[in-house]
Amino acid sequence: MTSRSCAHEPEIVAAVLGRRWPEACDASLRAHAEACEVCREVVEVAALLKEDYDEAREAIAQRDVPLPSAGQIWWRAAVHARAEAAQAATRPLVWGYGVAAASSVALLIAGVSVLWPSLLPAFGVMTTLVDWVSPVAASATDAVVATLKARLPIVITVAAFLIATPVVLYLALRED
Amino acid sequence: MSGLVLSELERLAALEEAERTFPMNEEEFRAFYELTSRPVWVYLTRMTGDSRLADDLLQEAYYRLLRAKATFESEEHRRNYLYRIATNLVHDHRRRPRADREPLEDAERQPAPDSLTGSESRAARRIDLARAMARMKPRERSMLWLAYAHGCSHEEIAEVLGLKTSSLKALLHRARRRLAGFMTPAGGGETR
Repeated sequence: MTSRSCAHEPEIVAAVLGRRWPEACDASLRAHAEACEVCREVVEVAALLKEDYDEAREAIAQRDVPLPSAGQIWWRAAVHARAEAAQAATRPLVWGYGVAAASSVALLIAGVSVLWPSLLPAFGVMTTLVDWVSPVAASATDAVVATLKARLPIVITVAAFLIATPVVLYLALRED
Repeated sequence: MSGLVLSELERLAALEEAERTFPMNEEEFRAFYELTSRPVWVYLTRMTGDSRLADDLLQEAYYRLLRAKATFESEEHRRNYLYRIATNLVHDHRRRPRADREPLEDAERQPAPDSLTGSESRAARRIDLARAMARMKPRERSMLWLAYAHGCSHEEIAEVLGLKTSSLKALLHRARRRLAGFMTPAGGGETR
């Protein structure tokens, strides 16, 4: 079975990466590498990758767009962190708006429900007034009043949706 | 980017806040960046096969490092942590749809080097290496690069890749064998 590693591997890698391989290395290490299959393979792979690494580092200097400076990275990180912090700070506020909107709708429904019996005579007065001003419009008014009297929960739900929808849409679609 | 248009006062506040909340001050960061940015960029370029993507990931890696809650026992620990972030960013990128990550596969499509001599052989070897590396698994690629281009110890590689040091020897051996197997033998046109 082929050996998976060799005790000389770190030494050989250090020599290749330090450009000491093979001339500036100990003769015994060179002799070992020639005889050891693992070390031969390590030399081959490390030499190739080191060469590739050096070429890539040289290529940085020849790029049209240099790497960003430390100052630029620091500055962008600072601004980004602040923006994130601000966004995190407004998150409870958004929840607050939502709770406030829901409470308002609930209060509106409760208020209308409580006041509904006292509002019924007002519909009668309104119908009489419309009938007196314009007999033609009276039939339409009668129909509206009848609907309001008969379908109170539906009317309140529709009203609540009309109020809540723009608020919800605003919260959902606004830019962060 | 409209959110990044800040007043002078906000700029100062952002910088003050950074000094207070980041795990190192600006001077320390500058020194650390000068020492690590090029090797990390090369690592990202070789892992993704795309230098423009490496630019973006480099910035993101340092940003995440600055925002990390971790405490670092030494410069080496911090450097290893940075490589770990960079490695995770590369892996995250690979999980995205394939259309986003053409460049690495481009290396696979390059022609095999024929028998070349002189200065051409270096370029051919580079293409051959790029092609062979592109065929490796991402973790193997990271492992080989850290071990043989950066000279990281087994412990450091294990820390960066989140592996057990005890299993690294075997994994590295396997990766090295696979890379050697994918490389064109010197002077030959066919891969083994």
